[in-house]
Amino acid sequence: MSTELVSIGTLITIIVGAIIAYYYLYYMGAALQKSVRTRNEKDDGPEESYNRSLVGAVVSVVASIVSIAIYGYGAVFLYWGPIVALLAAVAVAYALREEITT
Amino acid sequence: MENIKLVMNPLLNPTQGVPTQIAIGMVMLALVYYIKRNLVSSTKDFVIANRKIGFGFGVAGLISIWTWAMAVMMSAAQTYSYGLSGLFWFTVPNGLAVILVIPFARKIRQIMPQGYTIPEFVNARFGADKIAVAVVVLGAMFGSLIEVIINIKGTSLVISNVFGTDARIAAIVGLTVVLLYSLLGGLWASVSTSTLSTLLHTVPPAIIIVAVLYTAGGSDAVWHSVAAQGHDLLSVTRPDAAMGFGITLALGLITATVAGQEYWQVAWALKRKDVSRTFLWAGALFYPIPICIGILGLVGLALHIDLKTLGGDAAAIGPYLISHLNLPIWIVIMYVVVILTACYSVIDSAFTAISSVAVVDVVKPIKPDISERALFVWAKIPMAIAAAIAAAIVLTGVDFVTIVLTSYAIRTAVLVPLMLALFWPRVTAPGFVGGIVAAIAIGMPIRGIYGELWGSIAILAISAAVPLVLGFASGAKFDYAGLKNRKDATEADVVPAPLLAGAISSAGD
Repeated sequence: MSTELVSIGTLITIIVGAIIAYYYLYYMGAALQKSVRTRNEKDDGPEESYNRSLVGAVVSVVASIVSIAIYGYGAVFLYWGPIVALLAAVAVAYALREEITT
Repeated sequence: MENIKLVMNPLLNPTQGVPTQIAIGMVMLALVYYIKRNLVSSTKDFVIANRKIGFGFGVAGLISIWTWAMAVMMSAAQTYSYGLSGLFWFTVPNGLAVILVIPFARKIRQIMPQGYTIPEFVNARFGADKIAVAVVVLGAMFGSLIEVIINIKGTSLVISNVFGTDARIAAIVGLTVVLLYSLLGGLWASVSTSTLSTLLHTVPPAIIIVAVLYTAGGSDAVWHSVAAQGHDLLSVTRPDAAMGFGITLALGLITATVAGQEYWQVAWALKRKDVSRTFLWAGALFYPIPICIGILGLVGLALHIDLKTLGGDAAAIGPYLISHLNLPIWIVIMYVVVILTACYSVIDSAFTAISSVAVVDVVKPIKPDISERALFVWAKIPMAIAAAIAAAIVLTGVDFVTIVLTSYAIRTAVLVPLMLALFWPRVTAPGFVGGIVAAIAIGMPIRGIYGELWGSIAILAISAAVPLVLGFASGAKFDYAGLKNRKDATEADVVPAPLLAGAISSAGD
């Protein structure tokens, strides 16, 4: 029989994940409401001026390589995968929050 | 780790598969119902979200649209097959493929701000050359259809492996669920459900992997078991991973995004100031998903699971482990939800891509005076047709990985001519079409004889050489400024050149 119990580590991940999920869904809902409110407004904002794409690309690719390679340096680093997955959710929640505030 | 026994979780049974699919579908439908009521009332809303997708929805939507069943299952499969080198070659090009769209997305929004589809750009770029447009329409439709097929295969593979449900029933239920909510909300539905899916692709995998490591004996036991096997399984420098699949996959992934209607339509649907950083963030934040889930492949190696146990298909390593590792059943359900939402978000995006190509590049040119109401109906019909074709193909039971690599090879032929058409004014219609056709005609046999790597290189080289040679020979230059004022294709007074005159009757009017 499988057990329904989990380790302390899993429990901590669940709690942290639940907190992240709450804020993620909160900002998603707020961003959705803003989209509804502004649906008839013309997109007359500034032209594209973002100029950090190349630096961002290099940093993200290097970070991904390091994140994979680090698994080979010790057992404890296997938990880096779950940590970056949670951080990704935080970053997306931040992007949703920015959509509301700008 | 010898005391870990892998047996099918006795709490899992075939009756749980379909209800899980339907439960996810109900959540998505509820969200899309809100979207439909508040954001979708015209064809433009349906196919391009009225160009009002913001930064947050753009990032989250793109991540999930790019998170195929492949990213979830193949990251573990390639890690299981090649160790960390497999994870490296699967993951790094994947995120990069999204980031590499930036210059093309930025350029297309700059030169043709009111666009919808790749064929529409080709139509405008090559003076309504019918063959050029037809080739790209077929390529876009075929590419999107393949995405539907691959991901519905993923759905059926997981549901059948985990619950023992009939794979054919799982495929039909999955297609029906996605079709229903896609018909309601189009691109807005795709992006909003994908945003929800991105949450499900990040938080639950973290919980699942921590639970799996614990159940498999702990991270120490897993790591030392893999390390003891040698073969550089814990190194990212194994050359056989690059040669075996890495380079071919990298080329294919870049093709799938840069030449993929699903990504161009998002580029056109985003608010104009957010295009570049949305693609950058999406690519960067995609990385953690395979990096996290790939650990399942290491656990498979640590537990010495034989490939024969998986029916010879390494893609089954994740579902097999999850269903046989004595995990709590809610963890198993959570894993299924991760994969199903990955599949669903890609399928709904592909449906929307098919819809926009059908509306803008087929229906509208044939019947320019079509009413808005009829066009809105026509925007939905191609989705249903695509679902029916996908269902018919999936039920024949074609190999999963073979479909993926074959579709990538064909799309590769479109990549370079499209890039050149966007940036080089001297590309001509004969060069564009000749490059694609020659690349497929010569490159595919080379691929068949010498393998995927040489086949892909040949396709890319030929598809680049032909438009370059003909472009230099012609000397004609295209003026991109003419694209800037091109009107919105779903507006009534725009009459693009007919592509398939007479093929569409007044159905829907």
